[in-house]
Amino acid sequence: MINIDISTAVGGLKLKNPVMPASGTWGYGEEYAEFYNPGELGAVVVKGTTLEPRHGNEPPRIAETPAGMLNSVGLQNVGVEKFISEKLPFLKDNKCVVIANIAGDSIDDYAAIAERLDAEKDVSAVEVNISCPNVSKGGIAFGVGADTASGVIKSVRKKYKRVLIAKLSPNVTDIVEIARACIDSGADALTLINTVKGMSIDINNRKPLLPNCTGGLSGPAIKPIALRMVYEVKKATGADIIGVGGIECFEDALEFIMAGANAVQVGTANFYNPLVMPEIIGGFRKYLAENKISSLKELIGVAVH
Amino acid sequence: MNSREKLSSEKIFFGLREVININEIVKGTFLVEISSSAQLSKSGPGQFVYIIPKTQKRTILPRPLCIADADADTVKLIFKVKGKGTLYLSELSKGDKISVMGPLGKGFQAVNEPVLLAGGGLGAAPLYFLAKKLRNNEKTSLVLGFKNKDEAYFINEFKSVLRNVFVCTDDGSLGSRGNVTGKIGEIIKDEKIICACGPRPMLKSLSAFAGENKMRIFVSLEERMGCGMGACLGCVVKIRSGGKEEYQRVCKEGPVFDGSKVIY
Ligand SMILES: Cc1cc2nc3c(=O)[nH]c(=O)nc-3n(C[C@H](O)[C@H](O)[C@H](O)COP(=O)(O)OP(=O)(O)OC[C@H]3O[C@@H](n4cnc5c(N)ncnc54)[C@H](O)[C@@H]3O)c2cc1C
Ligand SMILES: Cc1cc2nc3c(=O)[nH]c(=O)nc-3n(C[C@H](O)[C@H](O)[C@H](O)COP(=O)(O)O)c2cc1C
Ligand code: FES
Repeated sequence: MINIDISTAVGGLKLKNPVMPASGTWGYGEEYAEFYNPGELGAVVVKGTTLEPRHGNEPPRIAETPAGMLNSVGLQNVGVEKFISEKLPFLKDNKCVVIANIAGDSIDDYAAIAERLDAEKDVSAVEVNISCPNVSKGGIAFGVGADTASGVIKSVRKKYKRVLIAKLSPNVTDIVEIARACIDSGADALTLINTVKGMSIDINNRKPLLPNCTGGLSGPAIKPIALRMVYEVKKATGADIIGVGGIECFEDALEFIMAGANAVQVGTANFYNPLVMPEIIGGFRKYLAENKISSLKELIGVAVH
Repeated sequence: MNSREKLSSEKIFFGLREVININEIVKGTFLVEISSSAQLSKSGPGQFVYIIPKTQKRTILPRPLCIADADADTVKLIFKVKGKGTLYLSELSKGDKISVMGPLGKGFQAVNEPVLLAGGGLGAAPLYFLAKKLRNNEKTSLVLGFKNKDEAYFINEFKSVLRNVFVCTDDGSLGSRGNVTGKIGEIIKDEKIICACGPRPMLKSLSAFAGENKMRIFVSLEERMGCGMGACLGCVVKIRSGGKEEYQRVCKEGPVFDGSKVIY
């Protein structure tokens, strides 16, 4: 028997395994604790958090599409203070590595929330969301230009000393350019990708199905796009990457690792298989054992040429 | 024990269940009976299950369906074909497997006072489970509203568990002509509570009626769901809470809400 090591690291953050939930699809870890201990995961990425609480967008917020879904939740969240006082203790009690996904309306917002989280040692990293397609101000507006992306990352870097991850949008012409701008501005790692902007029309009512008109497409439909972007960015920059988009089984996750991801996030698949993440972790262990590979790290980026 | 069973929750079942029976009870509306589980047998009226048919054709997201009855052997669901998801469900046959998660959400609380049950269209489904729990309660009355006689279902089943069953239809083709709220107004005695499930406009008018008559009202709401578990915030509805308006989750805080607090 060889010793199987599925631990990994992203931007200096050590993880016991490479699997974590995608922000916004797993609440604050409490909901799925019904099925297994969230501490079993490599890390827990929490719901996008803003400085002040947010109501989010009007329902309906969800529409199904071929091989995916659209959402326009619009960053409904309890705000950073309640996150720290009400949600963080549960994650800490369960020994989770916590990554806080943060968003703001302005560069100052991002800086203020980063500063607040810097004081919370139980948050191991921030994932800076400059890619939410569902809010009019902030979110994606910062993520589509290299200059604005860089501005946000620099301001967070000044206030936040631990691991800084930039979460990028696929809704851009050149993902490599934005990725480079974020790394050059102080990001330790990148999460690729957020949802792809899409829409759906209710033919009976002759209007867009989501009141917000457009929404973010997620699920298996976006996997090839996400994979391509992970590959391109790894090849061009060598940066540490968390791959996300349409992963629904261990094989999907392994494709991302081979395309250069150091870790993976699972979003939409949790909705139809609440056990998907432990199953993927088990899948990695089994694959390594069967292929006599002692460390998962050996597989990161093997398909990048 | 396989990994899935090990990870399964004590309260919520997640896995495959077998279709024991499936019948079209009226055109486009089906009754499906699936095998139960320890967790599902503890379901309460108003709770729901989240379902994906395991056929060649599949949808990404599960579909929420109210539990119309549950015991140690079977779980009954009644659904109407609306789109793809419910169409695939309707194509299932005896012996097929479907993926089930549940019971989910908060249902109707147990009540000992006289209660009026009000169901509109498919909204009758969860009320059957509730009516069974209140079986033989002389003081319980039920009003069922349908578009017309062709859409009415389960009336005899309801009559076998409750004495006071009233039916109304929009066109008068069955029972009396008119809507549920009107009928409730006619038959109301000393009931203090309404439990209702049906289309939004019906729940809205019933909630107004309850307010005027100083009654409490519990309504079962619907919204499009992502996770069914409270994690995605996809299924919210606007609720008055502590003087403020806030979004609450149909899958977690609901589907049954205090009707006087819902912003319709
Ligand atoms: C808690 C809850 C309990 C429910 N219980 C029942 C039940 O017992 N029996 C039953 O027949 N239906 C029930 N529904 C509604 C049922 O979930 C939808 O009809 C179903 O999801 C439609 O799926 P589809 O793929 O057939 O339609 P889709 O192709 O997804 O949509 C077709 C049409 O169905 C309607 N629809 C879609 N999703 C929903 C939704 N979540 N709620 C209401 N309407 C929707 C819309 O008008 C849409 O245009 C319940 C919904 C909820 C939220
Ligand atoms: C309901 C929902 C809510 C989301 N909320 C957030 C969020 O708050 N912050 C964020 O960065 N991404 C959010 N996302 C995007 C996911 O984190 C992920 O990037 C995307 O869904 C792609 O992964 P998937 O295909 O595995 O779902 C959300 C996605 C969904 C489906
Ligand atoms: S469906 Fe996800 S929160 Fe209700």
